[in-house]
Amino acid sequence: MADIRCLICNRVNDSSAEHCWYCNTILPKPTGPLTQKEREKLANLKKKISGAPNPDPEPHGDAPQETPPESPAEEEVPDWLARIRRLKQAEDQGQPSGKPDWIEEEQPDWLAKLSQPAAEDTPNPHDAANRVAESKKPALDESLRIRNLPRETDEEQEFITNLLKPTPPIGEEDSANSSNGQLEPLQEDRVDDQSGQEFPAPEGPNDEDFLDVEDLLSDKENVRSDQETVQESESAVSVPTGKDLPFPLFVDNLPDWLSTEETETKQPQDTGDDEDDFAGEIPERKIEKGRLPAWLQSLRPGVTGSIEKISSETASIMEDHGVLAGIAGTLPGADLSGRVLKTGDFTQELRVSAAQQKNAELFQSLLQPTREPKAVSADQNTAAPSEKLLRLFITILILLAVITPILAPGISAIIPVLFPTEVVNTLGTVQTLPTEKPVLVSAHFEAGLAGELNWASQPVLKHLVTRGVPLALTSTNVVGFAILQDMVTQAISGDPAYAKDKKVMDLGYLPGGAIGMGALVNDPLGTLPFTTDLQPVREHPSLGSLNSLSDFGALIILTDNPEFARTWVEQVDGGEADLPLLAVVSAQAAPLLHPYFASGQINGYVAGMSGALYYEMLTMRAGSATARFSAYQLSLLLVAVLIFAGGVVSLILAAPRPAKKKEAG
Amino acid sequence: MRIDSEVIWLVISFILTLMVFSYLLGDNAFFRFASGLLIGVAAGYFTVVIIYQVLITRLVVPLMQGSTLTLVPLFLSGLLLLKLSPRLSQLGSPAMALLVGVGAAVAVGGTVLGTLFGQVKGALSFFDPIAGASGSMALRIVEGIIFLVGTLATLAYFHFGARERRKGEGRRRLATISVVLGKVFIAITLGAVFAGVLTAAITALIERSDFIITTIMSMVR
Repeated sequence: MADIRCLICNRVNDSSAEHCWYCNTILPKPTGPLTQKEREKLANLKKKISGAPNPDPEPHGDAPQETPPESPAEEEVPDWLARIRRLKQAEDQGQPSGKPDWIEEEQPDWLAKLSQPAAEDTPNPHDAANRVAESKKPALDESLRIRNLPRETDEEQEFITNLLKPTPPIGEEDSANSSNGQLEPLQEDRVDDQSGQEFPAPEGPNDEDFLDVEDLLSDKENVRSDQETVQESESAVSVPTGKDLPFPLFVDNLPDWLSTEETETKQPQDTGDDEDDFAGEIPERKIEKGRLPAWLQSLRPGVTGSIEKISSETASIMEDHGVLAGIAGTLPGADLSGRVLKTGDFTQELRVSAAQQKNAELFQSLLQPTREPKAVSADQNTAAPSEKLLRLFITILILLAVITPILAPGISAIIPVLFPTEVVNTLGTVQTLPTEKPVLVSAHFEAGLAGELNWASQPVLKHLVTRGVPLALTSTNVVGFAILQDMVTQAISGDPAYAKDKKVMDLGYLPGGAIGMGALVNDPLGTLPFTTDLQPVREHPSLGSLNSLSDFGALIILTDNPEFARTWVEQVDGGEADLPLLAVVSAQAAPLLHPYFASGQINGYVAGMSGALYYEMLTMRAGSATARFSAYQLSLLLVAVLIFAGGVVSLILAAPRPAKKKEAG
Repeated sequence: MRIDSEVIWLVISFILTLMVFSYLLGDNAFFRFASGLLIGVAAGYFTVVIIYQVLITRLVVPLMQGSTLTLVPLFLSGLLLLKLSPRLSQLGSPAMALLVGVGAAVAVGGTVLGTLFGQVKGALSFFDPIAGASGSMALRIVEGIIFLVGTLATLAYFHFGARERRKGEGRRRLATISVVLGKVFIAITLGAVFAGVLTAAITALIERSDFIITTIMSMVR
């Protein structure tokens, strides 16, 4: 099947396509076989034109149909055709021939056959027009060259090419199969499919006898000669123009806008000159650029020339230099050798937009050195003088509450009669410790709370010293290690029978925090292999049998930080060690440590000065806690009163005033 | 006249204590001097302790004794020192990763086994009749209920997933009660912590005041 070329985008589509693949335009349908009536009309038309029928104008030398032209019966000839024949016969008799001499010279035999009266053949009028044009091409070219007619544009020629391109009749499958591309190899070597016998091509015009359709239609003169011929025949035969003509064959398939356009362009058809009349038959003017819709105009390629023309031009060009030297058909580049380009005049002024300026300022601000922090002076006391006086008054009150009981021993404290369970359990644990096993004392506290921890730990340490329990000292912070030594020394000072050199082992600083604790729980000797005197721990008389943490009699934690105590509890409780765990902690750590005592993870603890007092009372050894407990109670009472009074005053001052509420409302 | 070293240290301690107490009158040079001295001495002491009790006892001595296993921490320590160089700091990342990973593992393991399981077990022990055989069972049950309610209410207070049913209706009554109870228990806990901090500070003040008075009295005598 022949391909269909789109009227709009001029691209080739498959014959079975109804819409263009590229611009979705409705494609013209191939015309079906002509009716008998149309064939007769065209036959008469040919007869009027040249007096000879045209061969099949297949563009590539397609073989004409071998079927002999059917000669309609005389009785089937309509009246108008009979009248035409009579007129023709009269003309033939009166005038020898209206044909020029060149027609006779170039007319082949097959054309002579087709030149018989129309009753013998009913060729396609479309083919007739093409064949006439082919046969007359040289003379027409010459004549039109003489006339020097204005040439049409390439676009118009392309459109005419598409319109006049012959399409095989749908009903004639045999002839269609033998047309176009499928026929070309058969022409060269025709072999019967059944017998394989090669048979010659049927009689008919050679390829040279026919003009290529593209060549024919690309040349305006040929088309124009056709138009003139057809016009003459129309006037002679009085064949109705317009719809009766084979062209346009696809009127029904045209889009609405194009159909409308067609009717509009038919108006000047009647009043125009000959050329316009012919143009009305061939609607090459119907799709003029200015009449197309905007959207279609935008879709159309802007190339004025056809692709075939460009390819024909480029095919003749052969590169003579460069990497493409010797290769024909390349697209030539623009010749820029004689082109002089001037650079634009650029000012040296820097143009910066507002956004760029803003970003530059932001970047500059980021690059600027940061402001040096101002030293905040503690002298900048913005408090009011009355507030200063209040602070001083409170300070004096607290100092008096602390100092007065110290200077006046007669002020006795209220001694509690109930003892907390944790202190009692601590005492019981220490009391039951074996004297041969050392007690590991681990410290972790800061210097600020060393006094409190010293008072709190002294009863416990003295109790251990009194019982002669060996002590192994270690610390997970450096300050705690230094103070712990002083605490132990102070505790031992009251009992000269306790041999410090033999029973006190200074294992030193334990680094690593929780990791060090965990390592000590799992492997005490590997974690603390040496004492601070660089003596192996195993060689110490008290630690000779030390292999695990369970070999210690107990673990006593001295800390002011509840987190440290919790970490020790976690490591010991999660490990395999089974030893009593005691704690001597600051009063601030007691609330957070008590749950571990309630859960049984800590055997007991002594917290702060009050815990030391309880321990001293239980051991019946008065110490620093007992001596200063009056000051402790009095100062705490004063502080509690001050806090309560401050809360009440703050509550009163912070209460909203009714007048302000009304103003606000 | 022979001056005992203990007396010298007593005088120095007394003077430094007065310098620190001078902060009651505001920031002054004496307080700054005492603070600077404490920080400097602590840093110097820390360095000495690290050298003598860490590097020598845990690195030098084992190496001298032929412990090749000590080379591993020595190598890792060397990688950690590369953290000082911006170009070579990446080489110290493995050692740092080892430290962080082991520390996290130890902390998490201890928290789960020591605190979480231990506290749950402790909360259940209040309702254990065998464990409470030594005391009043009724009292232990009451104490256990208070513990349990306090724990649940505190958890409910920190549970921010409770949403309002409709606009204006607020939370459900049970959630509201739990939140209020949680607030009460949290307030009691924070009050106890504050009381502990205040008690510790008062104790430290009393201890230093006693030291000053005792020193003055001993000097007077």
